[in-house]
Amino acid sequence: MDDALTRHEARPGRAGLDAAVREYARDLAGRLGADSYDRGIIVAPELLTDTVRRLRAEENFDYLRDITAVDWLGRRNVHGTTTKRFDLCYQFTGARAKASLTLKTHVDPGESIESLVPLFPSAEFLEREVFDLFGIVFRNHPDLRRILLSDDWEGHPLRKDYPVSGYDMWDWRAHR
Amino acid sequence: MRVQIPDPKSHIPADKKTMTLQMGPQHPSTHGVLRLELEVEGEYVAAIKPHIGYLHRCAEKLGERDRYVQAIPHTDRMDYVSAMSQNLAYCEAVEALLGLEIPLRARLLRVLLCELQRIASHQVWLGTHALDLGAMTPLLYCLKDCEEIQDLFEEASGARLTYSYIRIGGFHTPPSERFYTWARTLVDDLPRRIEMYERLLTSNPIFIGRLKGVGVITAKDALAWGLSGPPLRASGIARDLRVDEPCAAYDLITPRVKTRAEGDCYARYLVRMEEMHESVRLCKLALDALRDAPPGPLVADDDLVIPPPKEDIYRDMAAMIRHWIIAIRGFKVPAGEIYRAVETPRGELGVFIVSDGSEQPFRIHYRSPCFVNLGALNHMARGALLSDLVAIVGSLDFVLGEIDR
Repeated sequence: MDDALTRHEARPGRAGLDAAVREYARDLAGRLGADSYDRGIIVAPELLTDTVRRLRAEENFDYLRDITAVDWLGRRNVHGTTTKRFDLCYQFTGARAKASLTLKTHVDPGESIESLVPLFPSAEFLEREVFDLFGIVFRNHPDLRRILLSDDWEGHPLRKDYPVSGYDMWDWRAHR
Repeated sequence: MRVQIPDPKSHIPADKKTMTLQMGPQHPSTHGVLRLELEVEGEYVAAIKPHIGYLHRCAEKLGERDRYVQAIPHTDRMDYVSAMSQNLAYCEAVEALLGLEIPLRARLLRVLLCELQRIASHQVWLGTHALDLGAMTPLLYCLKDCEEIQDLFEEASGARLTYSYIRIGGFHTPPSERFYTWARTLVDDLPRRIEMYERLLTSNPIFIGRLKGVGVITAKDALAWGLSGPPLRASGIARDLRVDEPCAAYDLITPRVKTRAEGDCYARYLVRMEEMHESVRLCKLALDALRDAPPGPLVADDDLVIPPPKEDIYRDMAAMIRHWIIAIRGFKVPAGEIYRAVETPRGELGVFIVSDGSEQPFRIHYRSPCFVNLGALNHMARGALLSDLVAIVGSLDFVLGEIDR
């Protein structure tokens, strides 16, 4: 039975099969001086703003769909390309763009990253959410405050070392 | 003894020309717990700071804690006005990671349910939006008709609001024969009712006066601010994920994308009304296709993800073991990541999943359409009259459960 359960690992999955996106990402990464993977490109954090500007001007990515982060605390990230803790994932698309693309960059907790608000105003709320839940600081953001949690909240809940019940869970055993 | 009472205005700078006004979190027109911190200059709104998070449950963190199947109820509770579309977005993303082939009947049924859900959601929006603007009658008609769609969903799924009906791989139980005949009757009757709403509102001078030219956003700004759904299409951008990135059976049943050029609240109203008519047409197409499609199961053929049918579990030892294994251990999902977006009644709901190859998602992220649309509120409503702000907030159709997640 265990054997049957692990059979999935051999399956490719539809996510890895989109050859057109992979080809396009590889081609694009070559032109932009970045790395590519099967759903998009990976850039160095200091090149982020330049790359996004070029993506918008040259490749018609005029719509920023989403910004989020992934915390790889204590393990190598899925690409194995870096030892930095957070992946920042930007999703771009555009009516005249060839495909939808993920743009990734890596940061560590103490570092900050350039904000995309001057290029895409929609990044304002999305970056605030990442700051709130991951504690990643965005430079030159016009109003970097917590957004979903209250201003006096302690910690950043989507970090992997943050317990699901929070730091200040009321311990009923102490009040028996 | 004299008590020194501090001047209550002492913290306000002397040169401040505006007044700070808190709208919400209990304000009736915000339809939930949205607090808008307004800077008003007389009757005009100079700046808006939205404060959200009152309903925050961190569904993303809970998703990381649980196995894949267990995240489906969280998606119900994000946008409780269109739970079926939220189920669809999540399940489509996991199915894409797994590489599951969904049977045609299940894909058609998903289209039918999601389009009915779109109509129900727009009915709730229309009723409450009209109520905000002072029209009481449409609310009663809209909620009555929305209840009928909920009755139909109850017949299929057993729930009236949080369905969890769409599951990874298909559906948890097939709907009864009665469901299809009932759906046909309801869908045939819906155009008459939508036309009645239009007769009540579309050429109503008060309604037009409150909405026309209010909260205008240009096509360029709408794209830059990341609007999606009806607000984006009301600004003249024909972006609809049902056409651009079709999921379920939307590649077979293609909607005609409705746009308006004006970009004001009235255009958003018209786009949603046209979408309701379009959804009725799609429902009819889906029902016809379901009638003609060969009978068969509503779940994918994959014994590692889909539990065996209930009657087999009671009869067959191997099936019972398989059921237990899937229920207790879950199933492994190949390592990788996916961003899959679905056009819900409110816009683009994106689901970003990172899998590390185990039974639990390593990271789930929901890109909420209302959250991003709310970001544009300050840009759209700055300089508007305070009473127009109610119309603008209503026309963007916020559901706070989805904004806060």
